[in-house]
Amino acid sequence: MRKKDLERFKSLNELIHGYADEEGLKTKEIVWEFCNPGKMWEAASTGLPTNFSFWYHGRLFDEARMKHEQGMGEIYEIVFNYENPYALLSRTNSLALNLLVAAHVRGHVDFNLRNVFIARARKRVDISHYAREAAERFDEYYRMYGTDAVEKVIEAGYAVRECMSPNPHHEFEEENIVRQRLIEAERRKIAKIKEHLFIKRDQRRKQVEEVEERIKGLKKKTPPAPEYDVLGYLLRHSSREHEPYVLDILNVIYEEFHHLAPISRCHILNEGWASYWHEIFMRRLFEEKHITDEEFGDITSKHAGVLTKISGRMAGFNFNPYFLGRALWEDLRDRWDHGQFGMDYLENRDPLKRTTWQKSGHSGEGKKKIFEVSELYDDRMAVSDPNIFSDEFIRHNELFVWGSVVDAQGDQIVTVLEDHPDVIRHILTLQRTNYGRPLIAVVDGNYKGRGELYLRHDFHGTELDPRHEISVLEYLYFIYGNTVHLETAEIVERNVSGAPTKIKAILHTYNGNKHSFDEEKPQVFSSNG
Amino acid sequence: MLWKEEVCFENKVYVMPIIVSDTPPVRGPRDAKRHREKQKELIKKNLPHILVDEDIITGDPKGKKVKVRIRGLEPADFRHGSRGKKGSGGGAVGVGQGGAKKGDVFKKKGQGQRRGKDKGGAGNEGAGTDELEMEVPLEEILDYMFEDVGLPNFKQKESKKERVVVERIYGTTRSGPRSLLKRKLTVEAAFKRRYAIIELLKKETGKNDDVCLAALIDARGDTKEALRLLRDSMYIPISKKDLEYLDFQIDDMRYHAIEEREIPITQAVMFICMDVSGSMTTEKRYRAQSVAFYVAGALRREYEYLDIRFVAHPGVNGIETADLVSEYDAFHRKSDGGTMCFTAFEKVRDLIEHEYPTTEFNVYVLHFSDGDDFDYAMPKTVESVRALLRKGIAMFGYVQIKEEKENLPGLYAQYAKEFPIVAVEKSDVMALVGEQDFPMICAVLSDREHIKTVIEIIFKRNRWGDMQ
Repeated sequence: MRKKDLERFKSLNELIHGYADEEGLKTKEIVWEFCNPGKMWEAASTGLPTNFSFWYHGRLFDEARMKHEQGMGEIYEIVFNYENPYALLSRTNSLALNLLVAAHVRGHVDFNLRNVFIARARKRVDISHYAREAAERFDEYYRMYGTDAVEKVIEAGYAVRECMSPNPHHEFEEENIVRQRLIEAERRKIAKIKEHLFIKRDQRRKQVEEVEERIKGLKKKTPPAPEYDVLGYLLRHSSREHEPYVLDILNVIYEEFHHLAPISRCHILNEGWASYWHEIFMRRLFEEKHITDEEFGDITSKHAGVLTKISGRMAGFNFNPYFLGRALWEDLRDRWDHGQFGMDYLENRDPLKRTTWQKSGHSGEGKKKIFEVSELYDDRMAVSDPNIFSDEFIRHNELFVWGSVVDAQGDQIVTVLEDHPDVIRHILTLQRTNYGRPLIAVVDGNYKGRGELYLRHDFHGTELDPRHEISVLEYLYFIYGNTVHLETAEIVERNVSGAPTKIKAILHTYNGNKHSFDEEKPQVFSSNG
Repeated sequence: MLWKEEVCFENKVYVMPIIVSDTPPVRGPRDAKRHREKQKELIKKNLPHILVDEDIITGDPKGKKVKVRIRGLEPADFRHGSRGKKGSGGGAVGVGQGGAKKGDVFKKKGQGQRRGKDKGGAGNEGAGTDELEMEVPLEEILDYMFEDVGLPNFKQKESKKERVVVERIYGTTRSGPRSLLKRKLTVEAAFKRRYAIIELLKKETGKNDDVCLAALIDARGDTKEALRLLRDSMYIPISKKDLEYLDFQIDDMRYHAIEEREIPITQAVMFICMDVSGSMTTEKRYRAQSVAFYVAGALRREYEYLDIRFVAHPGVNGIETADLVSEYDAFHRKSDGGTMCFTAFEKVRDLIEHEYPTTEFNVYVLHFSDGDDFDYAMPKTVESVRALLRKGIAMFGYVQIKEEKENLPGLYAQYAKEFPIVAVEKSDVMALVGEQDFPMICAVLSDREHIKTVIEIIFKRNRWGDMQ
């Protein structure tokens, strides 16, 4: 980057800062770094500018490098969700492109500051220092304990780091507090039964005894209620005396994932938000003649490259979150400006009236609405809300649901199954529930009274990948130090559209030497989803 | 004053600096290297599956890249997947965007069917399992393959006719091409000459070293001119910075000397005797071709010159003959009639006597058959093998190729009775290996995936001691 360009970037960047202020975006001083593409690949592969060494990061690094070298894709920016936002830009890109990226970064920074989920992630720990120091410690561990040993621990951490509470506002609670609360709830039940007038005496005694039995069980049970934060539970309750470095590694992985995960929770909204605002800022820069026609042409072509609508018959069967997210914000603002919301609008099924719906006195509502949604929503909430992800929006963007099966030749047969908005919202919601990961909970930490670990997979119609399952149970055994059980299910029968109708429960046990599978009789499966 | 400064301090707006950095990534390349190491380990582990790939042994092996399908390495975690078999239940479901209508059906070119047995096997190596295709140079795969391969009965046999010219650096000369210039010696020679001239000038004019050197440099190395300058009373020596000048004359040049020597080359011949009777199916021939390919590959690595001759039996002129054929014919031609193995070995003996004397060639004989031989011909076959071994060949290898369900008659059992060979222990294929120095190997190949094991048995390092 030439000095002249840098000076120009500084002044124009300040202008964009001003625009953002005027539009009411939350702004903060951002640390900008123009670096080598190599450093961008590294940061993208680990999620943080400096992070610990691990071979899987190397794979992602190689993939980013190869994409760059083959011209298949390039990383323009990475924004780190720090207290003082930190943005990495590529030194080798043109000034015009970097201006576009700078405007994009402003959008991300505002979203990160505004959105409640991402704000929570930021408040956990000062991740920049934490990760840098961890990286140095891990280097030392690699030297002291050998590559294989350290890698095994990291792999074990990665195997279970994604098992976390589906509740984004989940706060850690001491087990005793939870237990006390549950016991009190049961005690209230006893009081209720005793107050009950129309119940026979022996029946009443029986019911009271039942509840007392439950209270007795609760007093010993660990965890008192199913614990979805599996790695957190293991760190507190492992029956193996691990060396300090093992616990340190697992802790770092736990903290880093809890910092990074919420950001992926808002992928569509965040990218859409940044794209929405960079377009506005860039247009204004051009209109006020701060950039030349040529530069604006360069910017528009890059903008179009990032925000292509995926179309055509075989275009990967996916959608572009940048495009869809930006379209969503635009649509939302537009509809609220026209008053297209509220019960009377939702209940009106006349398509003509809905499209030409115009209520006066709502100008300015749109902007309020998008700020509100960007503050309170994540992807899952947005795609499941018919008010936001409306039927018209889905039809406009030509979304559809596809299903694929693999035939005998190993080819994939893809069928477009459905284009009904309700189904699309449902599928998108399922995909985004718990980051698209299966829900696994620790049900019993003292199974059969022998200190064994009993996990349960909450089956909602999708099976677990069996090969991964085997590896993960071995890692769980390594961390926990005792036999591990996993309750899951296998689909026995499906109906025509592929939905499961009959399932059988499976208890997968790993005792340190051997995997065994106990199967139950198939049962009719009813999903309320 | 202090109070005022504090206010200034609080009101000051800090503008964050823009960092322009130029540090290369450190951990990324290091991690990527480790990842590639792990991938290589995986390739090595899957070698038996990879080696059976038909793409490898067909076509020109030079500079070829082989598509290897291995599992992409990623840490295992709980994820959604399918427990059932492929193509049995519902697969993936997703949301797409674009002009597709409900009910449209597309076909995506998939992985194609896997050859041989399904790889199966649980992922207890700790890594997850998404298959990805990698292009690996054939040479690299062969490197893994022959990593611990040694040659049985390897003797340095030298050809009397064939020689290779080797160039060697042996000393210094005063003429040569610029690429062979010896810089250090040349500079030393130039300095020596310069000081000799300075000594001369000092003697002639009685002036000191520095002035003489300056004059010499001013004269650009010309001694007469330097002398004239020194005798000139108006002459002022140049400043010190020009003193680095050094002139080179033709006499200063020193070059590496090259010696050319003729060295006899090591050479070997491999006879591939192929049963081309009707009972050899395409699959059996394919397996034979694979083994022959890898054996030839191993031999090529050890010998500078390797001849491969293909002998097919029965021959064109009836079952009691064997023919020298082309590579393609050996593995593809079909012939009617029964099998007389000894005809092939007699042909080989003939060739050894006339073309490939064992004094000059390491002779390897490899025989592929499904084990059928006429009963009355069996003693003749054994006798002809004996005759070959008496000739002093480096190795006689017999690979009996059978289907899994076929029982095991024929030559394998016969050889086991007749020759001092013992069974190999701890192996997933049946194999017999000569005792002590007896250069004979028999193996049974009943599955494609055992090709690697068979090769390893043939080329076990130091099988017959350190023969040199």
